[in-house]
Amino acid sequence: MAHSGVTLTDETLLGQPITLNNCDREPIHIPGLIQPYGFLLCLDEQTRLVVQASANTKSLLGHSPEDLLGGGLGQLMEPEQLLEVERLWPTVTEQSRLLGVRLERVRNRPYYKLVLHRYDGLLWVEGEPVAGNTVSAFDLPSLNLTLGRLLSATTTLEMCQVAVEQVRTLTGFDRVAVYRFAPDDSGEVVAEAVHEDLAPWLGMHYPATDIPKQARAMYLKNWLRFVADARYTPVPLVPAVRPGAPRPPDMTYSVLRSVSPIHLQYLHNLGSAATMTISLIEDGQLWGMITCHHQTPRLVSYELRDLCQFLGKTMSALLKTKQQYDELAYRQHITQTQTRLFELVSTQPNFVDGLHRFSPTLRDVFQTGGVAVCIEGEIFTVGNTPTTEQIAGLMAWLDEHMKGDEFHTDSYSRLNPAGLVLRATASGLLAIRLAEGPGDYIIWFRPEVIQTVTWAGRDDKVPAIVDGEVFLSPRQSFEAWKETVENSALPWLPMELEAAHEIRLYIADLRLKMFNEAVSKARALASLNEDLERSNDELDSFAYVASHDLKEPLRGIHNYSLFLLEDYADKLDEDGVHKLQTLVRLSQRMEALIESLLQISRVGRLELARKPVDLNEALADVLELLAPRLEQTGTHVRMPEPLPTVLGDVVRLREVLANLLTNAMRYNDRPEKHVEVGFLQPDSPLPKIHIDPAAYHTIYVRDNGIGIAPRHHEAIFRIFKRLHSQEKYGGGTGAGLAIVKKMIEKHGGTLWVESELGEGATFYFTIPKADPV
Amino acid sequence: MSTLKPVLVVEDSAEDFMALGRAFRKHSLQHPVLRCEDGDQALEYLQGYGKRPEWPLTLPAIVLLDLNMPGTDGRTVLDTLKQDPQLASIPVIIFTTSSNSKDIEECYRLGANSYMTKPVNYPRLEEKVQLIVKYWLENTELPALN
Repeated sequence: MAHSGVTLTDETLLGQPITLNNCDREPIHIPGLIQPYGFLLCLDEQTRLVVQASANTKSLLGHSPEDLLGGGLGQLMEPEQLLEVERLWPTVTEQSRLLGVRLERVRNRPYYKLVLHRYDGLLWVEGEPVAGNTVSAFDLPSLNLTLGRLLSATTTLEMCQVAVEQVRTLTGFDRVAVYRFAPDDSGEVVAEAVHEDLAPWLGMHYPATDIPKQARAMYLKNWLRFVADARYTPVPLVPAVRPGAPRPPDMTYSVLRSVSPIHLQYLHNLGSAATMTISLIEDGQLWGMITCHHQTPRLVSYELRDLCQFLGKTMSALLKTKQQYDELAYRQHITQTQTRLFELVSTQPNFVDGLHRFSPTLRDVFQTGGVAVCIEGEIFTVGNTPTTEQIAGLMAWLDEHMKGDEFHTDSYSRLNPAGLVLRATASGLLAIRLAEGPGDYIIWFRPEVIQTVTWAGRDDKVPAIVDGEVFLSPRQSFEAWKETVENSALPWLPMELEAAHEIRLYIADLRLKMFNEAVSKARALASLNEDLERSNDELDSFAYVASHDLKEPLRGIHNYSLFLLEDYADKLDEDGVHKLQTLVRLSQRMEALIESLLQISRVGRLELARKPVDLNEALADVLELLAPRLEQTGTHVRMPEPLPTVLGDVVRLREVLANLLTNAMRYNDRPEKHVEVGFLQPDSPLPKIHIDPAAYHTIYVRDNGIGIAPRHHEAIFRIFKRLHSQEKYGGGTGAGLAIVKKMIEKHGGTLWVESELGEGATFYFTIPKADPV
Repeated sequence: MSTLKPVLVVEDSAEDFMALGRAFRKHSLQHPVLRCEDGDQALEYLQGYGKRPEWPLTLPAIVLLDLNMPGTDGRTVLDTLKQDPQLASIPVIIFTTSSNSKDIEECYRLGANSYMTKPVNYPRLEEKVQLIVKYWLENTELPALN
């Protein structure tokens, strides 16, 4: 056990009133006072004669202190008993030894437990009356069981719970709790066994000032403190300072030592009439305490206290292992959650979804209040976080102040006063940078500690100043203490920082991978486009050359058939002549097909001369050109309103209109043939095809002709796809609409038809506006 | 031997030439018709007339020039002709299958005097030949070459 070499107390305060201002320097180790339920005799080490005695010896032993001073223990016991004590002295250290003795020389021969130890140049003899709960013999099987349970507990908290239950069972205290110190010395009740009528303290936090520093130092030396009756009046030593000594004796190891009046006040405030406190020490540091409270005075036997101390020491010895379990378990939680998160992220088309949309999220990896994923201008949050605007502000601060790729603080507002308003959700920050430049972050948030925990006494009325005197109460210290922890969150653990680091690397890898994939996809697409363009070009030139070259032999066939007819008709019979005529007709049809093929291949190779085109003028030109046929077929063309001006190649647009109008009059068998050319107003319902009405006009050519069955609506735009035989409707080649469609598409527009068989047809095409909005 | 200058037909297709000849005959062309089967032959004749005994001693009155021919094509022949001061004034009538606007533009830019497409329809071919004969050989004053 480590001894504190630091003197925390100030012995000059001896005899002065102790207040909250000086209580942390109160010399509690030399109070010169004991609790009245027992007696104390201090013997000179050399002479083994009484040099100081507690003032209550008269009432307990029938001898006044003055009578006892200068004499030996023989005043109280028979020689054979005295011999037993004398035999013990050479081996006694500051660790106390117990001796049960009947004080034969005292009236009524009371039986006392003598607690012996050697310290501060004195031999200490403390007498405790026998308690009703004296454990006469070790109950080894039950102790075995208790130790087994302490050992097998898999977490620190589980071990604490076993301990409090065992201590309560053994001692019968109303309340047994384990109180754990945080790095800032504040404490928390982490386990509790409590009488069912009492309010639980579990989860309560207490400010560090509740236990003064010098008390903590003493708790490291003396493992157990006991107050049998908190309402006691302390009994002084006689004399207060023995002759030749500079001060009262050091009672660090005394079991009867009187506690600080402040502590007694504290116990009153808690409603506690008896307490026992056992230190829990890990690596020479005070880890926590097992504290016991009882509503009425309670004398716990020395043996039982010794057993409790044994449990406390056992628990202390196990703390390291259990905390390693805890750490391991938390580490496993982090690793497992991280792994599941990464799996989720890798299976999402958009990895950002994987980070925040499904369980587990980034928030679940370690203990945080909330998390924000800030990526490519968007902010996604999970849990308790500041608002999106506040996060944006925070990002701006990070952009400016965050050096490196990772950053953490347990008090953002201490770095940036503007962070004060965020303290409820974001006193603590852990940020990782996702991109080289400013902007993309993942930020974990931790709330202010004060917001997180239940502060014992927080709602208590702060004791008032009565008659100018401050009522001693640790509650007053709460406000002062609060100021020191305000705006702070629980600190980030190294393993949490490691996990954040791994997450950053993972996301960086993922983004790099995705970026590379995107780049190679884009490359593949570009080369595919190139291939397609090339093959389209090749196809166009092929059609052009092929059709051109086809014409020459075709001309030969045609001409020679004609020559045969001209030169040899008189030598052929009617059938021969008819066959030659068919040959001529077929060669002409073939020429028409070749010509269409040539045209369509030309449209593909066409370079548009785009200019604003007044469609009214273009239509007028076309009507003029078509006038003879319009007249011949009796077709009436009307325009409900003037057409808009569009951006396109005027020659091609004329061809489009001419072609659509020709079709309209060709595929019409009504006596009154009508064609309407118009355009859709911006507010008219949009067709099913997606169009940006701000950039495109939708022009239509509507006829009252034979119509087209919907199942053919796609087919009619395919080259050489005809719906009617060569003999009907003047026999087109079936290339016209394919050419028109290609021309419109060349302009960036779309061509489609709406029609029912027998109901006429409306051809729509979109074309860029001359002055898009 | 006629004193009329020949009509030069630069045509690789025997069938087309045959149809052309038939149309010429139908319209009683008086001029001798001379055929070159490709551009090289045509240039050899035009640039080398008088220098070689086997070539006619006169330049043609007009040239009917096909564009797409194996070897040296019609565009090169046209360009060479129009660049040559001695030959530039001979009227060149492009008589070809191509109705491509680019071809038409290019030929006129190079100095073609007329551009006609060969129809598949023979009666139309006859019409066109008749027009050529009537216009270029019967009504037009041609420069005196040689």
